[in-house]
Amino acid sequence: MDFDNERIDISDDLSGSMTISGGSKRLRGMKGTDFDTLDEPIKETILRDVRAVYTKFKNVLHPQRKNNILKEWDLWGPLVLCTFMATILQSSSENGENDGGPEFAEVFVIVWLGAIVVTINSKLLGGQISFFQSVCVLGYCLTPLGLSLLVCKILLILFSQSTFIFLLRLLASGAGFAWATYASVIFMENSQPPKRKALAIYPMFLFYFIISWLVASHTH
Amino acid sequence: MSSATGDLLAFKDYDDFADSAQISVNSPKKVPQNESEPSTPKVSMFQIEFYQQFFNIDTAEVVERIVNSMYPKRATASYLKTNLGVNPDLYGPFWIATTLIFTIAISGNLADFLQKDDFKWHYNFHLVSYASTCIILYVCLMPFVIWSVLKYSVDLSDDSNPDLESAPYIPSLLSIVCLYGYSLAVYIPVSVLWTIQISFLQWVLVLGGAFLSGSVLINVLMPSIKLSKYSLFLIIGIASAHFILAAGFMLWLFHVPSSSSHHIDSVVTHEIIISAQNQTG
Repeated sequence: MDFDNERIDISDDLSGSMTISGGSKRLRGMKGTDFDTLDEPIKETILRDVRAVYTKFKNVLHPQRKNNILKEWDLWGPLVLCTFMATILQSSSENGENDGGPEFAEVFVIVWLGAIVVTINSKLLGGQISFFQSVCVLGYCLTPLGLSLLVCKILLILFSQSTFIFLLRLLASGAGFAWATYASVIFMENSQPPKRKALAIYPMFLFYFIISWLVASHTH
Repeated sequence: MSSATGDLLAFKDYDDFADSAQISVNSPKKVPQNESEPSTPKVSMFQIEFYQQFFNIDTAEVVERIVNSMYPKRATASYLKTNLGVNPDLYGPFWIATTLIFTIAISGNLADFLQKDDFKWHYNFHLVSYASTCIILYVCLMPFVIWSVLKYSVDLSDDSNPDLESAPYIPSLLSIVCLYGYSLAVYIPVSVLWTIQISFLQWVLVLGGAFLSGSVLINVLMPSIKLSKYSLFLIIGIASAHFILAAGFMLWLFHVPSSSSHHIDSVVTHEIIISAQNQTG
């Protein structure tokens, strides 16, 4: 790159190209040095983030040990999941009175405050993970619970109440809870200090247990 | 380049300031005050390192403390001074209290479900906020009351060497909070068992749980309570507060007789409605 020899063309219009000589293609492959995202079409910008979110969802559904879900965090997935679950879980006022279930805002508070508290606990114990990475992982690992909420809702709509359906719903939310805890343990266990792993993992267990109880006790 | 600019542009070696930037979070050897020890550099309370000193504990130690809180004679006589006093942690109290809040709320809903006898889950989600208020108030107020009574009534002007086991000793507020937090651990399995709808069993659980953890509390605090003028009041106060907490939760959320009368009421109203319909129909 020879900046000294670049000439500015002062002819009729002063519009010039902002690209560095050599073209944009050369730089796109380098990590983090994408100078040309101003020029790309919006579709490409949005699709890049969508692809990142989609990869993370896939990684949660099929957790593997060596995984770089932690490297680049984003909070889109957790937001979508939280909104979806809060919309379904909120109490319905069909009888003109509150049926005792959580409000939309209460589910939001539980999910986000819970993720923040678990993250702070992990950092206080000496964990080596950054704040937002941890919140990102905990949020994405809600995916199995979102799926089990969907299954429960479908069961409720299609069939009438009975012990068998109740047991099925319990099974679905139990499976979601186990999967979510397993996934988050796999992602987070290496960043915890060695003698305190159980201390850092127990709050995650409690967090997903509470959310799966919310899923299981939703009966409308 | 000339030598003058070469000097300016060359790397300079500075003294190693690594020591002055270090923050020591080792537990101090004597009873900790609320601010950091004079031997370690002062860490601002806006930095996370300040709070890390309250979480300086391993899994094995936490398990040990929980077990000690359930078996009355298991802890050594100077447990307060040598163990809790030296390294009080906030991990145990915080997470045991949180677990207890949610166990009580979930079991309370389960008990209500079992008492109503239909598949509609009448869950009262706001039990969580009521339960949490009670428990947090208990863990914060009781230690404060005990600590202030001890501070007010124990005379520390003994001349003996403070490192002797028999020297007068007042635990710090943090150690008492830690002790109270761990003493709630026995109520977690007890609150799950409270959903079994047998009244006699529920009372046995209340008495057993309150007795076990109450006696641990009194045993551990005894070296300091002995020195106080108000020792009898303290012992009675601690034991009764503990018992009232357990009995209160059981009676409010899980107790059987109140629900059986409710059940009878609903059956009676149902029959009245049916007979009214039969008459009009």
